[in-house]
Amino acid sequence: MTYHEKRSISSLITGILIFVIYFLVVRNMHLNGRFEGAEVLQFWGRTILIMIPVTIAGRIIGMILFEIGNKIGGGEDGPEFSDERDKLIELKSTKISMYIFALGFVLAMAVIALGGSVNWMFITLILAGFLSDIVGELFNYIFYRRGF
Amino acid sequence: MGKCLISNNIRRLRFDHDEMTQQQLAEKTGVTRQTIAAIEKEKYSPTLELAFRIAGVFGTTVEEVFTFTGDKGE
Repeated sequence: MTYHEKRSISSLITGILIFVIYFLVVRNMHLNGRFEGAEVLQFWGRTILIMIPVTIAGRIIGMILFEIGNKIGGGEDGPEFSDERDKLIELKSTKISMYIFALGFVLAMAVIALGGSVNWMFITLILAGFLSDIVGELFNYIFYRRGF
Repeated sequence: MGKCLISNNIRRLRFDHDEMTQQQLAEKTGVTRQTIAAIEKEKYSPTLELAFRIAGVFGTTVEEVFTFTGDKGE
């Protein structure tokens, strides 16, 4: 397995771990409090704002752990730069990821339009963000595996 | 995504040039070793610019290095 394939799998696992842990924390917060009216929007606003730095920090820690594990395991060093193939693969996987998120956004709007609660709209949005991230990494892995 | 429609002689040309390694060819053409490996295995078709760079390293023409196989069997 090449460096890029291993890195994609590592990012995939990190992404799933961060989401599951954060989801459990948010779920507990939600179970402990009763939110009504504007409080619901404040809760989701806080949840999403906190999720951004948590995800970034988790990703950085995941990358550091991967690099350490890769070095200890005797894996090949990662390239120092991105060439044309890397950029094409990144563009393609980002495009797929964006499509998934756009679809999730439309679904979230549909939830509201059909009379669903604000909670379900935000849950759909967050799930779309998570799925787009995971599918993007998965396609990144597939493209590197297939060559392009 | 379809099958790569460009075959190449890079493996043979590397061998003919003092058994040049993939890493050496990658350094001379400004790409990563993994990209050279993908081109050699015909998993990735390089851009025209990279194709010219590879041909330039071997001191030959693009046609000598790459062959379009898309019309075969059509």
